[in-house]
Amino acid sequence: MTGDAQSSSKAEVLGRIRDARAVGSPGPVDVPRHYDRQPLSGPGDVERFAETVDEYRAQVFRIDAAAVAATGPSSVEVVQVVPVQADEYWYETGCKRLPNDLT
Amino acid sequence: MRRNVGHATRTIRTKRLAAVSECADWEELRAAGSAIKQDVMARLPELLEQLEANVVARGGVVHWARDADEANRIVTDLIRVTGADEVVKVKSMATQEIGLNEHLEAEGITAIETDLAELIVQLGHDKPSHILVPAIHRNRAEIREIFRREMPEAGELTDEPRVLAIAARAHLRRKFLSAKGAVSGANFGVAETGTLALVESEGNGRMCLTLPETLITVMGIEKIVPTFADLEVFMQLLPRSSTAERMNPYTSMWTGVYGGGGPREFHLVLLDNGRTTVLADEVGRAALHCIRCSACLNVCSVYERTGGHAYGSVYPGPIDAILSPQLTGTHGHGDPNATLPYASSWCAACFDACSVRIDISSILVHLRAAQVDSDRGGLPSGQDVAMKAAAWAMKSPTRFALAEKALSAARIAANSDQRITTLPWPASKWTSSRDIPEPPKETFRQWWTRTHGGDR
Repeated sequence: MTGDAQSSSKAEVLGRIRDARAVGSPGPVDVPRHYDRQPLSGPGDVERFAETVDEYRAQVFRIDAAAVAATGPSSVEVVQVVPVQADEYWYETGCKRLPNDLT
Repeated sequence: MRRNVGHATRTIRTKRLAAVSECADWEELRAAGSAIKQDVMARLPELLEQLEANVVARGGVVHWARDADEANRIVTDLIRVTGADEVVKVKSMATQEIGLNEHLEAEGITAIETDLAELIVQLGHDKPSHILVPAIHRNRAEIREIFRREMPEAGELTDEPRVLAIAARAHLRRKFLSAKGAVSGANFGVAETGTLALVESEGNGRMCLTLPETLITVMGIEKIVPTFADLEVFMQLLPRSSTAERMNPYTSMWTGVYGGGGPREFHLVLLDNGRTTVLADEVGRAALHCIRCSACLNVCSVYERTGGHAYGSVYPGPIDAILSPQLTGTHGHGDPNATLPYASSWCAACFDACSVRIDISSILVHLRAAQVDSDRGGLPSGQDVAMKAAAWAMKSPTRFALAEKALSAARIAANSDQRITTLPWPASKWTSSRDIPEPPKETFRQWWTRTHGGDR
């Protein structure tokens, strides 16, 4: 598509919308935000979060504040991997190659 | 088919009720979702231009398509630039609506559906029958047969879901890794930031959105939301209403292109294709609020019994009954779209289930009235003649009694299953697609006279 054709399409679509809105348009609408906008506000929410991530097979560890430093970096190694056939530029970012185990 | 659809919709329906009942603020979320959509319709040109400016500012390219032909041409040209004759696709109702796969095939480009259910439909040379679960009409044994036939490299298969999923995964992985381009839809486009959002369950979408060098997204112009914060409403409404999940497994958001990974080119095609016509209808425009959660399908007694193919269009179920006739218009009695507003028992369960409170029943009344009005003055249809004849017979007790006796004579046309399956023209127009139960031996009046001696 040429730039001219695209400008024409854009103008036509926007024109159609403006014509359509002329038919009984209510104008901008105030959105009622009476739903719970602070979902992480109580102890029950932490339980709910743990339950939800567990549904997706995440391992959940419940520890106290004092144990955080000992648990975090030492217990988890973050490795970014990509399939062996992926573009070279992925490896340049530091990703490791994943053996092509399709199962 | 009816057994598969009935079982699946009942299961999803039950799970959805449980997921929704966990949210004390569900009705408030629905009200907010509805209001956001109304606001979008009221400010659509401004929001679209804001979205365009933000996508372009972050390295994307925006295209405007007035109709399906123009959208298909744009996408085809963009794929040609990649030099590939194959493209991977994320499940997208918009691209189904414009017939993109068929268009690409005619142009020598193979579009590979990567959603598992869409892949089943594609390999089965079939049509989707549900917005969210396109292969809902297929059972495991049928899927195994399709895979055996179309994916010989998969080897011996059982009908165990895990085995079938592994076969599809191996098949698709090769496609993901070799694809130069991907085509997706979008659930939402955020005007404020130029961000596109896609929710899915399998991760195939994430692969399509990140691995190929060129990403092309086709999005209906009504899919826009004003601000990023508005997503907090829809990201709660959509998963619970569609898959009955608290959150969907994969939510992908992308804003233009990045140097460090992902596609190097991003194109957004903004699609009209009849949406502005819908917008011009003061009552019918609410159909554009739909977020394709498909909750209305799963509660619909008509859909549960007919399945999605009976609707004859891309968007099955109650939402189709109000959306398709408006998107493409209706052209006389023979147009399948013209009958869609009548594909309803009017129980209004769809309104209760709708995540954005679309009053589907009221729009059905509106569309039926518009259709009756547009048919005035022309030649009467067979249905008009039949209704007038019925009215004439029912106006007189004598004529009605005679008609009842005449109907009893139709017993001779019934088969051994007590069904009438074939009648001569014009009644053949009915029996060609439906059976009629054998009329009873005696009419109600005859039964009443026999058992009550004629007492009123």
